Amino acid sequence: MAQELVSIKGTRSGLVILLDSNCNFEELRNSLKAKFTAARGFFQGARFILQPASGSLSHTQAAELEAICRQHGLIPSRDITLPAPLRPSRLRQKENCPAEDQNLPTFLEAATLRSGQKKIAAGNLVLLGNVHRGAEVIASGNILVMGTLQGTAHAGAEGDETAVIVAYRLQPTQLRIATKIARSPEGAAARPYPEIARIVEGKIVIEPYTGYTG
Amino acid sequence: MGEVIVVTSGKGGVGKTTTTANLGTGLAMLGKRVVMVDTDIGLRNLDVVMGLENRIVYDLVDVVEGRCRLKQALIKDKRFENLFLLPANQTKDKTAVNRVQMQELTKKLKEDFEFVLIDCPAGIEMGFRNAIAGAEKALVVTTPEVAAVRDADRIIGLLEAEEMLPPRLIINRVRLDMVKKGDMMDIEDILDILAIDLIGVVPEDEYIIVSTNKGEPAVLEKHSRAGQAYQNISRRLLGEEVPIMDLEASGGLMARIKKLFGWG
Repeated sequence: MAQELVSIKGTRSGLVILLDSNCNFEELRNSLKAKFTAARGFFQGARFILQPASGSLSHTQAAELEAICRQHGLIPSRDITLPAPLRPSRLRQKENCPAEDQNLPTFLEAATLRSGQKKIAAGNLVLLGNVHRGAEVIASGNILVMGTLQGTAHAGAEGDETAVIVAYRLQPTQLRIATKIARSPEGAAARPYPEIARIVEGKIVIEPYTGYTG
Repeated sequence: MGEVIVVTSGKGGVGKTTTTANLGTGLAMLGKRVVMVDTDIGLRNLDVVMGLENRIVYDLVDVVEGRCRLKQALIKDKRFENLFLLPANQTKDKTAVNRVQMQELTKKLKEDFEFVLIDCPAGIEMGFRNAIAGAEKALVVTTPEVAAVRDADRIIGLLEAEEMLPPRLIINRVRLDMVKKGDMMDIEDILDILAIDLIGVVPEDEYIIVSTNKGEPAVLEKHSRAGQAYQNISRRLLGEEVPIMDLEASGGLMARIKKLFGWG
């Protein structure tokens, strides 16, 4: 099991009930009920706040879950502050998330770029195809290659250091973000999963891309 | 002041880029300060053969158009401190530079380098014209095939019309077994037709394919016969007297065994 659907964290000001609201609401509700049953009144009288950790809850869903908590003797409270590590990833990653300039247009291109071909986008670029060795993709925003990136990619070409490069298979000759340049190590084996490249502490860092959970 | 040498052939696929990479590396091994210039804009390969593709930031076109300084575009080789590459641009075509720009570029390069090797594109059009524009010497590469020799003859004619020292010939991919059977033109036949000085004969060697794929010039591999031939040509470029390699000397294993027992 990847993660519990419901987890209860104690903080100085009260209980934080973290909910994985990406899953089926029915399951979430049952899981919450099960938690209280297992606790056998341990939480009676505690103050609490509901915190969807990912995705979001509708008002009626939130109200229904809150009602369950009340039935088990918990008291809702608005002023429980979340300790930093418990904050949902969306908030925590704020300073490190992809370029989110809303004014930046996004271009969708379905093409395979062969050696000597170059695609330049004044905004974000989503490419449905491969970028062969000797080909280049350049964007002032983020670059997403829904294929294999073997050529050169330059994201944040006008200086945006928050820009990222994501590829279904990232095997680039060279990556550039803003003014930073990285080349792949000699003889590195291809990784069979999607990866993301971004600037962390002034350097281009490549990590497995596990999805955007913000 | 260094010398500017263009490596050309007319015909494609005879080994211009391989020759440039190996002579550049060979001269660097002999301690010379060398720069190789890839003028095959749009079809660049020299960076791949040298294993330097992932280090390219600026290229020849950026330099002539003033987008960067010459120094910024020069890629230092990963094996030799004194060997550099000026890569071609891959997204443009031969019209991106002109003769005057090439003359200015080579003039600047030879102030700083002892050897400027220019890798010429195939053909006799603008790319060829640009490549030879700043050169003082030329090496013509051919293979023992009628078509390659014919094209080399055409190129020699064009080079002679330029203000340049007489070109010298490299015969590449020679297979002695075929020459012996009379299935391949021999060196004498080729020299009769082309009537220029020979600077080297390079035997056919499978290792060239391996080395090209690995991005490691064959001249670095002392067991490669083509590598040895390129080493010899490098020394001849420095004015040394090196005898033309005896192609029979160290043929296959069988040939060596035969020689050992005096059957060769």
